[in-house]
Amino acid sequence: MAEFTAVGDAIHNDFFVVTGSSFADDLQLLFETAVGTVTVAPNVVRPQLAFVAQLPASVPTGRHWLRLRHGGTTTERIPVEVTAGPPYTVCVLYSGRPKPSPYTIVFVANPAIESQAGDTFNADPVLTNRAGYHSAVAYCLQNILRETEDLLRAGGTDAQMRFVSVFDATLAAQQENALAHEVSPNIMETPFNRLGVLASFLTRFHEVADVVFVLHGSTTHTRASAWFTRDDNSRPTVPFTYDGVARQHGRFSSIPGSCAIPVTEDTTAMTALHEFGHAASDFNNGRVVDLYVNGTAGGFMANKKFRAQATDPVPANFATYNGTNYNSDPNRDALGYPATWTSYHPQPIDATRPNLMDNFFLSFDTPLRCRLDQLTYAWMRDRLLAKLGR
Amino acid sequence: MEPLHPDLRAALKAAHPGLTDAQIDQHEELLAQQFLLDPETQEAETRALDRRREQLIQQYMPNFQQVAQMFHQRRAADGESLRSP
Repeated sequence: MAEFTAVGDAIHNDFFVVTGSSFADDLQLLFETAVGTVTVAPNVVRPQLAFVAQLPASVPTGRHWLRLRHGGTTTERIPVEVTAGPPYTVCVLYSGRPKPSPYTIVFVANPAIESQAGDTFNADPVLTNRAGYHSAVAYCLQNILRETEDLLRAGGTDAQMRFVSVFDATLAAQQENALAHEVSPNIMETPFNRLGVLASFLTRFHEVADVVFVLHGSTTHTRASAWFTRDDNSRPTVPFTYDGVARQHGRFSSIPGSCAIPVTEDTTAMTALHEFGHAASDFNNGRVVDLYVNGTAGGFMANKKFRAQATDPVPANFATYNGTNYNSDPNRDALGYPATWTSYHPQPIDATRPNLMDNFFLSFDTPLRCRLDQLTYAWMRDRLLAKLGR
Repeated sequence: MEPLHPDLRAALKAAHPGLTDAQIDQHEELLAQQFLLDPETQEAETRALDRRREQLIQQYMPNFQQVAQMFHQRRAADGESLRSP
């Protein structure tokens, strides 16, 4: 008996995903016909899924037998019908735990770009670059699920999450389809001042997201950014205390977290997970903020505090979260706090590399090994578990 | 927001003689501050920060976008090649 399932149809140049259990990293897909076998290496493998960004046209159309080879074994086969297309508009990459409201991450090919002034809307070039979009989805999945930081995958929690892609090349360049907004000089953000547009956009595709990755094709505004989630605390929450103050992790959101990432993103950077860190935090009950600037106090930040004077020592204890004390980072990893800064951070998991929310480009080896600090990791894990548990 | 790559910082300084780290840092601070404001209730503050940033850019790094664009294209290409077998 085969130990896996093909998700959806097998279509040339579209996503192709198989699901199962105990998949090993060396997994390969073997498409067999009477005349031969075509081997396809997935872009991303997790124990429960193997993700191919674009099914290559080297797999002939027609009926195949599909086997998986991994961990020194080859599975039984299942029938698969390969077609030439067209690719789907909405593709459920992984359905997550079967339940009414699974934690959902949606990737969207941005249909229209809003100018900085908000007075013009231009077609996003990504709609004519389906291959680039698929590669960007693969990059994001690799980045959030497979690099050293295991925030989403620890304990197999990613197996409970739903992943969806939306690519609709028919949408017009108008305000209701503009999910990306230019900010001078080179930043792209998800729609300023009308974040509700994301939820209404996805409703058209019958999706509800917790976090939306808006993937765009701008060549001028390529610096990624994110906006925090807004939890819906009128619905069930999970209480927590932070420095003795009672707060809540919302199980549901009223506005999803969102980030805008170019399809040409440098794949050696930790940008996708860094932006997810912002987007998955909450505007009111804990923002996870950038650590590469000093910043200013105001509102509740889960991962940054301020001293009265830059000359004051960094306090040993950063915060008490749910009764556990978390230390401060006296040295800002190996980077050091600039002499004028008053801000300080929680103790990192890996003190030899920059915090994932700091300037990961300054890592001595590769940004891909950067991790969060201990407090933010614990806080964000609890936050994810609160939403996964709804 | 994505951090500023140290090589982009160097490229900005190379393209704008006299530009200092402090001026770049000031721009970064304003930008980060902007992304902490509530976009639904603090639009005026956001616009004010936008104007201050724009002044900094025009005064000290008018070619920021072009420099960043070239840098991004090169990094994206390098990243692809690093990922390829």
